[in-house]
Amino acid sequence: MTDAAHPDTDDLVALALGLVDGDQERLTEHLAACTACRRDYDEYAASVALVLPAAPRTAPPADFQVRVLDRLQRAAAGPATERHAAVSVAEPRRPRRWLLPAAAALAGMAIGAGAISWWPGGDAEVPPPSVTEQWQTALVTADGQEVGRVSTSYGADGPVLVLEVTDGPAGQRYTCRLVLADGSTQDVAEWSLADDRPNSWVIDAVDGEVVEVQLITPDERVWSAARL
Amino acid sequence: MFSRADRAGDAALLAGLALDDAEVSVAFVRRFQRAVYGMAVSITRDAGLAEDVSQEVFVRAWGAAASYDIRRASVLTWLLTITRNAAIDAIRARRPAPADTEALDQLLRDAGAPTEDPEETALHRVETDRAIAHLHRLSPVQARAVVLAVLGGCTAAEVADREGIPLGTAKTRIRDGLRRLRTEAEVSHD
Repeated sequence: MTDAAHPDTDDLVALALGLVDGDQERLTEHLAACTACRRDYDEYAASVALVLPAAPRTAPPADFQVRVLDRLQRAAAGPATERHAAVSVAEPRRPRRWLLPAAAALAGMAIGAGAISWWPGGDAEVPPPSVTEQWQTALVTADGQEVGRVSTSYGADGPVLVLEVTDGPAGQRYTCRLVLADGSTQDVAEWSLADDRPNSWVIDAVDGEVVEVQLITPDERVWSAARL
Repeated sequence: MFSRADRAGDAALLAGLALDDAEVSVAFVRRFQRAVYGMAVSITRDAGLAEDVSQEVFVRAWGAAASYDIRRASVLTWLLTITRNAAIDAIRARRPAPADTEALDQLLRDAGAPTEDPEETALHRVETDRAIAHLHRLSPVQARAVVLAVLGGCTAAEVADREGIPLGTAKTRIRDGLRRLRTEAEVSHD
């Protein structure tokens, strides 16, 4: 700030952009008491809001929706304090710690734990039609290297499998093959691995109990598999 | 300005989200996920972090849905405000890295023209077109500075570095660009 009474205009701009480092507390306290500065700040914040809809649209990973709905369901089932305070477009933000429970917490399921009890064709226990991920199992190559995981989820239209490759050759194309309990197989999709986006896909339910998910190379070798 | 009726579709979805209506939650996420994730990517320039941020945004939106005021902003703008704040918090916590030149180049290209969103409603299309039109009313250098600051989450120092200009010039372009946006918007609504 250049003035003991009023902050510099560029500080108000930085605050409206959420990009203030040091003086944020002082700035927000000043705005609470100074109508003139508050008016200037509101103008800049309104300008920022005008631009936001121009943000690029980008498709999230295939299982994003499932994961979000799972988190929403968990939040709804949690304590009432999960519901946050009001969020305002123009209200200056006070510094706060980033809450990053996110995806890592989602992986709080034991690898290989449980059974495919609610997968079509599995045992009788069917969970409520939620989006809760029940378990996950490792996707492993023939030489034992873990290259991803397969998890079961429940999406808007019913049960799904979510396959995520975390380590693999970019550009390589694979066929996703489901092995059913009766020994038959179904090829359900073809994917190419990329190194500039998450390699995860959602597999819709099929008729019959799925016992293994395989990724098959173009020359028909099993590159990796997950036993369910 | 948009009428309340114009916004009612999104607002109704948001209200349903607050009531933990599963079907509405699916529709809400599907409708806004590309915009939220796109904004998160443009600021974090990290797909994994952007996904974490985007998930958190929908949880925050659910938690704060009751506070949404239809008179102050569209749901899209409200949600993108939450996204922008969350993404900036995230990069402060995680990313000491310098600005990604290629990603910022892409952002500058994308922000100047509409991008495809199959779930986009007509209202969102109008909002997006207006925002882009506002940017096109600025001088090219102002528009670049504003896009980098608002949609790229770049500080004035980062804008100066990215554009190869003095810090003071970067601050002036951002400040004057934002002022002009506001003035132009008021003129266009008269």
